[in-house]
Amino acid sequence: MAISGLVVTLHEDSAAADAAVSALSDDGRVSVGERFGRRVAIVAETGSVAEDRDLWDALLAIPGVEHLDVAYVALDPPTVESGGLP
Amino acid sequence: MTSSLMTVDQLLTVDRRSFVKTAAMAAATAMASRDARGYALPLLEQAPSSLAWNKAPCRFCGTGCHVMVGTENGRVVAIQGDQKAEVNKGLLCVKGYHVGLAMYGKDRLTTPMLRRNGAMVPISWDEAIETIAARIAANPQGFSFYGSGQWTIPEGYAANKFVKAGLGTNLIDANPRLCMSSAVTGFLSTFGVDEPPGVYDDLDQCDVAIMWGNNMAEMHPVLFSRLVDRRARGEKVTIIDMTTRRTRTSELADHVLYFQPHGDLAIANGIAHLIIKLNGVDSDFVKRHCNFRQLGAAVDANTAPDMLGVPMTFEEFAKAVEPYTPEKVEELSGVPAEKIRLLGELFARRDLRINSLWCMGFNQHTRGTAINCIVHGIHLLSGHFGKPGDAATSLTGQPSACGTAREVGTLCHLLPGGLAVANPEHRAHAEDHWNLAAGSISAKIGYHAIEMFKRFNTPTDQGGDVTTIWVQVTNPGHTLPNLERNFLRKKDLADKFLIVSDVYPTATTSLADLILPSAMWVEKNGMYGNSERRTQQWFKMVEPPGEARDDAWQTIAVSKALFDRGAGMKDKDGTWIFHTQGRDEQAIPIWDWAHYYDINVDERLFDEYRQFSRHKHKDLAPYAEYVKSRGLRWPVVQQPDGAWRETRWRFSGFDDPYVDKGKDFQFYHSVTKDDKALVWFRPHEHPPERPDAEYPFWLCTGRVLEHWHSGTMTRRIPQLHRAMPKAYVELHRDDAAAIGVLSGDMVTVASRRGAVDLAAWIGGRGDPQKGHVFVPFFDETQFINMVTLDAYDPYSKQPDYKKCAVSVRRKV
Repeated sequence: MAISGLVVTLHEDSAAADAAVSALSDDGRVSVGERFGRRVAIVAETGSVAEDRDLWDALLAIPGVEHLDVAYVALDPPTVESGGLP
Repeated sequence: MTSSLMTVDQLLTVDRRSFVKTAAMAAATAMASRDARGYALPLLEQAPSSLAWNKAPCRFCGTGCHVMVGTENGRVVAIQGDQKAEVNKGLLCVKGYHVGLAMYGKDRLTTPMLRRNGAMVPISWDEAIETIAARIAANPQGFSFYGSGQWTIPEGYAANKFVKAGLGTNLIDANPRLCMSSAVTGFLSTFGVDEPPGVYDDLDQCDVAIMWGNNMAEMHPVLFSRLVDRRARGEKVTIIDMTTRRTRTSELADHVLYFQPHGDLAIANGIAHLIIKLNGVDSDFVKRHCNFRQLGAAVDANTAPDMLGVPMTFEEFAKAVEPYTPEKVEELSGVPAEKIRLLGELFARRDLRINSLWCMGFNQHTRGTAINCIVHGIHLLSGHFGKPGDAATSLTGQPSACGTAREVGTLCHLLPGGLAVANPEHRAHAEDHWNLAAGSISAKIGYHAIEMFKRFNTPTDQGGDVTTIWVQVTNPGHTLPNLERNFLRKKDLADKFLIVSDVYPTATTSLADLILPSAMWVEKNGMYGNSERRTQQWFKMVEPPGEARDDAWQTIAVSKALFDRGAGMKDKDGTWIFHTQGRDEQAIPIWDWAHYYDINVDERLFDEYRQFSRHKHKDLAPYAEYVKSRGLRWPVVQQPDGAWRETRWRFSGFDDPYVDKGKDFQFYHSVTKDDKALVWFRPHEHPPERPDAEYPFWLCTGRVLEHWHSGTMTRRIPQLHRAMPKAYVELHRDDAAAIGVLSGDMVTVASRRGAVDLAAWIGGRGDPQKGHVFVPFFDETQFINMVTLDAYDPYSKQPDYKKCAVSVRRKV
């Protein structure tokens, strides 16, 4: 994902949820949008495939993050780097 | 990748990047706020942009999420979850949001190729069509079609008509035989008609969700998010994960019940036992709406008893499940007795709504029909049926396994609309719809998938009477069990001929004699039918590459070539079975690719097919209704005001228009012809192969979050491929220690049928029980199906990929 819109579901514990939002805000790859209770909208922007995966794992590993859903992704043609099986 | 992303940077101007980021945030905010009253954002497709946005169901699994596809300059360039879609409400999983990239691997097949002197050489479409027609005309009884739950509905209908009306055989089957035919036999045995009575709405209203061997969090993540969302809103939803290995679903479950293979039969019978012991039987419901059944005696040792069974009383049923005490079930399944009691107590409670969910864990099972029947039975027995939230729901793995294979009937024993080859009245209905002479449709059931490929891989003079197979939209060279026996022997049989229509080179094309390049997904018009009886439609948005063409066109073009040769393909008036004319009554040559899109062939085929749907009350609306909607769940019945109304809960009087007025429930396709469903007793039995001293581990195979089925699409998406590049074997840490293996070490997993080398993963994403191993099947560089067992359920003919005996040894 070069640029994607994600929905983060936060933990029911409000302190953990607040800490998770704070951690998201500290991540330079993430823009944090509005929060609706336990759900918060974010936009993630990554520079490489490896970063892309790392970010996904990192978001899920943040204490207070319970679930991650995807709402949007930009698929600009140059991101198709290879095709074919390695 | 670095260089290509620099190209992205170069191409994405600041303005464009800003636009994309704004669009991404708008979509995410709309999703995050969907429960926030009064909050609304403009939908993305309404925003000013150079992109054209159109709806389509996702190409991958059977959930049936809708995506909005953004196209620009003839390419798919953006995907967003469809906020208007009831199924996914704007959400997508990690595969779904990469779906557009699946079309752009650079090794797309773009021209027909024929094997000559051992090498594949490009040929023209005309030569390809003539080659197939000549092969079929020479021996129509030796020809079989093998299709897919990824066929669109019109594609499947065209293939089915080609074989059953055009050739007068039933030699067609499809890969749902490998993934869900046990669900079909379970529904047929219980309700007399296929497909789930309930819908996804049950997830929104249940109090308890039971995952029966179903890793829903990773395999159907958008559906699982409905449960997670409810928890996020403060609702109490108890999730119970019954599994043979710890997964992401287990991590989010309230109770995790680890069971031994085939233990599910004992558990379900144990629940039935407890429902009776705890006075949990809904006596009124059972008395008015259920009969009891068990299997009769087998004719001989090699033949399973008749699927219709023999009647039994409630008292006899109670006696049959009496031995399944919690302690006995613990002995058979490995699940502690107190957990069995927990399940029984939940089912015995009338104040809870319980949704059972399953997928391949039940279906890829040599006792698949039995376990499907038993779970329907415990829902019926306890009255947890037919109310929102009370449902037994089978999920599917392919986008149109229901819509195409089950409803269109692209299996060797079915006709369209749920009609059966074996039923003379049903054949007569089909002959009438197709304008065929009486007796044209063969009464002889064709070969199911395993039998078809066994015969294809057997010398012709030794009973291998299948000499030509045409495969469309699937990859049996990767997905059949016991590949050496069921696929690879073909390479030494010179008179066998394999035709493969596909979009990429695959394990199947590697042995093909003729390869046809196909259009995929939004490169063509299409319709799918998902797991909750929802029929969906989309329009072609971009052109296929090179000379790739629609699968339905390929079928129609070969049909015309056969008709021209005088080799069938005509109705009783001598008219070609796919004859099509415009409003001016002039024939439209849809066999000619140049004219294929002169009309909407999908619409013509679908509106012809839907006439079949009324016989079994699976009514479909006219094509135009699906253009307007994000899918409709059948039966879709026209109202007095002309509107078309879908049905959510079948057999329930408050919703199903086919239930007689005044009745609360009516099973109107009842096996016993008395509007009652059947509660079956089916005993626990051991599987055909169990671990022993030589092969001491249980092997289970399955999928991973990042890849879909044999990986031919998702392994070409760099983001997904890099995230999960290779298959692996999950081992319990004690077993790994015992054989001296660390994570990352190469091991050989072997069975009596074959072996494969894999890297070990210990304490990874999934964690099997001691004595068990798990291997995902997506990786075509490491075929776990060289190892799997091809024993199958005697009724559904579905093989068991979830359990066989293997050895695991460190690779030296």
